[in-house]
Amino acid sequence: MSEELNFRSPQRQSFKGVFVLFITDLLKNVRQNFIVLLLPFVNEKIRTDYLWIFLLILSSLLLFQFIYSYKSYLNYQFYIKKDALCLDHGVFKKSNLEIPFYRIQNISIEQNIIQRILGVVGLKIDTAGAKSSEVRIKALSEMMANDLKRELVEIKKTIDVPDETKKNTTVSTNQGTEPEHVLKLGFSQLLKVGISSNFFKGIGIIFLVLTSTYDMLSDLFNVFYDDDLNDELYRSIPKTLSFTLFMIFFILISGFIITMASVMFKYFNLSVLNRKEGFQVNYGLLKKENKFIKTQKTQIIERETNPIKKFFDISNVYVSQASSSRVNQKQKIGIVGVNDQQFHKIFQTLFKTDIDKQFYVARTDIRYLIRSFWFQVLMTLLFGLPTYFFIDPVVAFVIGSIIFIAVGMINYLTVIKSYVGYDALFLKIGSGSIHTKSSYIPTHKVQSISVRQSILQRSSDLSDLIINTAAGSKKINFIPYDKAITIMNNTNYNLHQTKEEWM
Amino acid sequence: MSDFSNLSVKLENIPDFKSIELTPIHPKFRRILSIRYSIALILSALVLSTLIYYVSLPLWSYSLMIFVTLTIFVLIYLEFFEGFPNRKFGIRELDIIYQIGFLVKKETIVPFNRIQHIEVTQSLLLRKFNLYSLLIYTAGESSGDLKIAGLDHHTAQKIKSKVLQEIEDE
Repeated sequence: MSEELNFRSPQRQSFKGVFVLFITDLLKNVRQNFIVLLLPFVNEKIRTDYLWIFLLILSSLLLFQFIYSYKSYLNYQFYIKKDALCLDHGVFKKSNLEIPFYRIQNISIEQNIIQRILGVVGLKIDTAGAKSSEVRIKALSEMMANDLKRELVEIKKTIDVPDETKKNTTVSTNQGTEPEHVLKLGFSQLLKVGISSNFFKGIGIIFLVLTSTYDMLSDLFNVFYDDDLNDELYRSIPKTLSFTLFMIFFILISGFIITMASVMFKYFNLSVLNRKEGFQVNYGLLKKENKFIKTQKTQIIERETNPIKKFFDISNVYVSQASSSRVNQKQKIGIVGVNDQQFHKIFQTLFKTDIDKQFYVARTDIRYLIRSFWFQVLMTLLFGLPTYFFIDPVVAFVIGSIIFIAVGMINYLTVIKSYVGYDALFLKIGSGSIHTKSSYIPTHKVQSISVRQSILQRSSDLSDLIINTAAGSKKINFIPYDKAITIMNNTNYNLHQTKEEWM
Repeated sequence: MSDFSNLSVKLENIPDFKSIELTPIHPKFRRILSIRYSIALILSALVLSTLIYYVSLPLWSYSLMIFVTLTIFVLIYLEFFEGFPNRKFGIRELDIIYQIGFLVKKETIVPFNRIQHIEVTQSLLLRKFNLYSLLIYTAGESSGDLKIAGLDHHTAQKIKSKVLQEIEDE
C-alpha cells in the first residue's frame, strides 16, 4: 500500500501539467484578446513600424505566461488529511482549500483534447451546496488519477458506512464481479442516433459560417477589385434558379452531416454502467467524458423522442441532478440511443418505481396560441422586411409566408404537446414541438410550487404552473386555474406523505 | 392501478390551500412603496428632462420616450397599489403560503421541510418604519426562493422560529 501513503504527503500533478496549464491559459488569453492579436494584420502602421515591438511584447507575455504556469504547477499540491482532501494553490495569493469528505458528491475523470494529446487526465470533484461546487485537478497521469479516485471513494465509503448499512442490508456488494452494462451503444446504434438528431442546429451553424465567410470574402473582394461582391452576387444569383436550389440543397445536406458527425463524435462509445449508487456514463471520441449519475442526487429525468427516433425505437434521456446553480442543458447528463426497455431500467434504478402509470392530466389551453402569435408575427417581420427592402417583394412574400406558416405550426405543436400530469408519486410534464419531451419529477423532490395568473389570463381562468426543484424549475403555460390549484394541493399533500428525502 | 382509486378517496381529505384565510402584510409597507415609487418617478423625470434639454432628437422620439415611461409608471402603479391588498401570507402546519401581484398574481407554497435557510433582513427604508423582510431559501437555483417584505418584528421572528423548529424536527 505504498500508494496510500503517497497521498498523505503533498503531491504535485504530473509534470506535463505545466503544459496543460500553459496551453489552457494561453488559449483562454488568445480567445479573450483576439482583437489585439489581429492588430498587425489590420493596421498598416503597426505592421511596418512597430512589428518588432509588438512581437517583443508578445513573446515576453508568452514567457511570463509560461513562468506563471510553471509557478502555479509548483504551488499546486494536494494531499489527504484525516477527514478532508486538501489543495494548496495560487501564484501570487496562496490559498489552501479543504474539502471535507462528507461534502464530496461526485468524483469523475475527464480528458479534453489538450489533456489527450499530452497523455494526462483531469480529476473533477463535485461538492454539494457551496457556490464553487467543483474542484478540478487538471493534469494527472491516468494511474495516479485512478489511485486517487479509488482512495477517495474508499475513504468516503468508510464515512458513509452507518448510512449504507441501514439502507442496503439486502444488497450484497457486487464489487468482485464486473459491473453490469445497462447500455452500450454500438456503431449502428450510434448511426441511428446521428441520423435522427435535430439537424436544424447544424443548419444554424452552416448559416453562421456562411455569413461570416461571406463577409470576409466580400472584404477581400473589395481589396482586390473596385467592384462590390454584393452587386456581383445579386446580379448572378437570380439569373440561375438552379444555383439557388443547389445552395439550399447544399446547406441542408451539410447541416445534416455536421449535426450527425458532431453527435456521433460526442457520444462515441457511449456506455452506461450499473454501479452501487447510480450509473457511470462514459462517452466521447475527442473529448472523453466520464460522468456519474447518483441515484440520490437525481431530481428530474427527461425523455426526448421524435418521429424518426420512434421509428428506430431510440430516445434521448437527460438526467438533471441537484445543483446550487442553474442547471442548463449542458449540465444535464445525456444518454442517447436508449430503447424502451433500457429507459425503464434507468428510470427504475434512479426513482425506485416504474413509470407505467395513469396520470391525471391538465393540458395547455389553445388560447396560448394568442400569446405565441406575437412571436410568429415578429419572426415573420424580422425575415420578411429585410428581404422586402433589399431583395424583392415577391421573394419577401414567399419567405414571409413560409416563416409565418412554419412558426405557426411549431407554435401549434408546442401547445398540443404541452401538459402536466400528476399522481401520488410523480409529476409528468410534456413539452416539445417537433420533438416530444416528457419530464418526470418525483413529488417528494419538489422544492416549492407556484401558480401565476396574469390579468389577461384572469378572464379566461387560465394560469401558469411553476414547479421548482433542486435541479431547476419547470413551467407549464395556460392550464385551467382550478386544475393548477388541485395539482398544487395534491403535490403538497403527497410531498408530506412520503418519508423519502429529496436528496 | 391501485393509485387510481387511492387518489380519488384522498381528494376530499387533501387540504386546500385556498380555503385558509391569509394574513395581509403590514399596512405601513404601503407607505414604503409610495416612497419608492416617488423616488423612481422623480429620477425618471430628471433623466428625461436632462435628455430633452441637452440632446437634440426628433420630436417623435421624445414623445415615444415619455409615452413609454408613463406606461411603465402606470403599470407599476397598478402593480404596487392596486395589488397591495393581494400581498398576503399564510402559515399552515407544514408549509408557508405567499401571494403577491396584480398584473401577474403569483401564489407560492413552500413546505417547511424543503427550506434550506431563512433570513430576516431590514433595508434602510424598512428600518425607518421598523419593518422587516423575510427571505426563504430552498435548494437549487433562486427561482424557488421566497421573499416576504413588510412584516413587523414580531411576525417575522415568529415565522422564523416556527420554520427553524420545523427544520430541526426533521
